[in-house]
Order: sequence, then structure tokens, then C-alpha cells
Amino acid sequence: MTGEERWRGAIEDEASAPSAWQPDVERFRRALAQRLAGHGCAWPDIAVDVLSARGHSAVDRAEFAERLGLTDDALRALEGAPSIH
Amino acid sequence: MTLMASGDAAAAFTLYEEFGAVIRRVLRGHLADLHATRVPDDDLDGLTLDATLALLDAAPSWRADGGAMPWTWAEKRLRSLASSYVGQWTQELGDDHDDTTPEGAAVAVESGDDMHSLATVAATDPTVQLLIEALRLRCSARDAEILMSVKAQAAAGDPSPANTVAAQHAMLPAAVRQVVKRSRDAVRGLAEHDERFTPLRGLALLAP
Repeated sequence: MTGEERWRGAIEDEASAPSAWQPDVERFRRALAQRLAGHGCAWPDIAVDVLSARGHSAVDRAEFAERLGLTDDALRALEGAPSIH
Repeated sequence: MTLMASGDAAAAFTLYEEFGAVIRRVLRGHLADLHATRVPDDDLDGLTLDATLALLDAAPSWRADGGAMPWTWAEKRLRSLASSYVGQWTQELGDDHDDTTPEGAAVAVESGDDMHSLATVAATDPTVQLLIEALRLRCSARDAEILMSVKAQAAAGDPSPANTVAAQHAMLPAAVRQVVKRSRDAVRGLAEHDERFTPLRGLALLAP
């Protein structure tokens, strides 16, 4: 089975069957916070809150900063790092 | 997707919450390919978290305008994660493993393959998991590897497994036999005295 077939199959399965699996968002938040902390973020929990809010808004940093009345740099700092890389 | 393609951490939530189930299914498929069909849900959940973050790491290499297709780069990442999960036992047992194969040992089964197969089975077989745990408790990584290598050679029909393994490790065959006996006795002792390891009693691999 090729990668494409596997992914298409998984996506179709997911679309056609009710999934018993639910994302464990708290665990994911902890994992992301841990990762941010590992990258030197001093307030990983806050950064995760902000990233979560922006992620669910599906807007880029510049637009989100504008909505919050912050500069891009301030929001970048609040998020702990320019990216999780 | 735009956020994700730029490697923006904010995309992690969407990726996990909307595509986590798909990622999990694909991971399960890769694990099944590796014969790991009884991976605990908690481990699979953890792998899904790791996979989500790994995919986000790789996201900048995906470009809708002609870069690798999402399933191509994702496929490689997820397969690698599944392999690492299954192979974790290999690394733990093989840290000081010297995998150089001397000339004249063409019939030797590759030690890495032995341990990889063992790790693959271990993911599905509780007795093998127990055996690996016992080896870790009672033997050095090197001794455990020598024991498994000798047994693998014997199972492959090698009439002189100790000689073959001795050549691989620059040891004398007698020393290899001593290691095998010592390791085997240590694990058998554990099986005799610790109730948790009772399932290992009578295991052919530990027979003299």
C-alpha cells in the first residue's frame, strides 16, 4: 500500500465511521508546553494558551496581534518562541 | 493549512484535534506492518502526540505549489516514529553492540536483525516482553546480545553458533559459551525465584 493510499484510506475511514477516539487535548497541551519549555520558554503554560487561542482562530500571528492590540514582537514573545522548532 | 505549512506552532492544535484520528490510524497501520498489533492505547495516544509535533516540524518542507505531497513527507515521518517505537528495545539492549562482521562469517545472522525481530515480537508477545525485562535486570546488554545471537544462530541451523558469535565479537568460543551459560542461568534463576517471571520457566530459549 502506498503512502497516498494509506492516507486516503485513513481519511475515508475517519469520514465514514464514527470514531471512538477523542483527542486528549490536556495531554497535548502538556506535551506542547514541555516542548516549549525545552526550547527555553519561561512561561510555557501561558504560551500554550495563546497558541491554542490563535490556532483555533486560524489566523496568523500578525492578524492575531492586531486583534489583541499587541505588536507582532510582543505576541511572539508571549508565545514563547517564534516557532516550536 | 497555511499556518501549518509555515511551521507555526499555533497550527498544532488544529492538526491534532482535526487530524489526530487519521494520524493515529496511519500509525496503527505502520505498527501493524511491523507486526506490532497489540500496542496499548496509551502508547498509541502518545505516539499520536509525538507524530503531530513531528509533522509540524516537517511541515515547512511541504509546499502545495510543488513540494512533497503531504502524505509523502508524513508517511516517512510516521513510519520512522513507528519503527522507533518498535525498535526501542533494540537500542536499549544494543547500546554497546559492535556490529562489525568479520570475514568468513558469511552465514552469521546479523545481530541487529535478531534484536529487531525480537523487538517486533516483543510488542505483541508478553512472554518476550518479560524475557527482555529479565535480560535487562540480570545481564549486561552485551551478554544479553550474545545469548540471543547464539540462540538465533542455532535456530538458523548453525552447527557451531558459539564459534560464529565468537568471531563476531572477537572472543573465544569458550568465552561465548560461558556468557551464554551465565546469562541463561541468571534469567532462569529469576524465573525460579520471582513469581512475576514464572512464565519464563520452561522457555526453550533458556534450556541448556
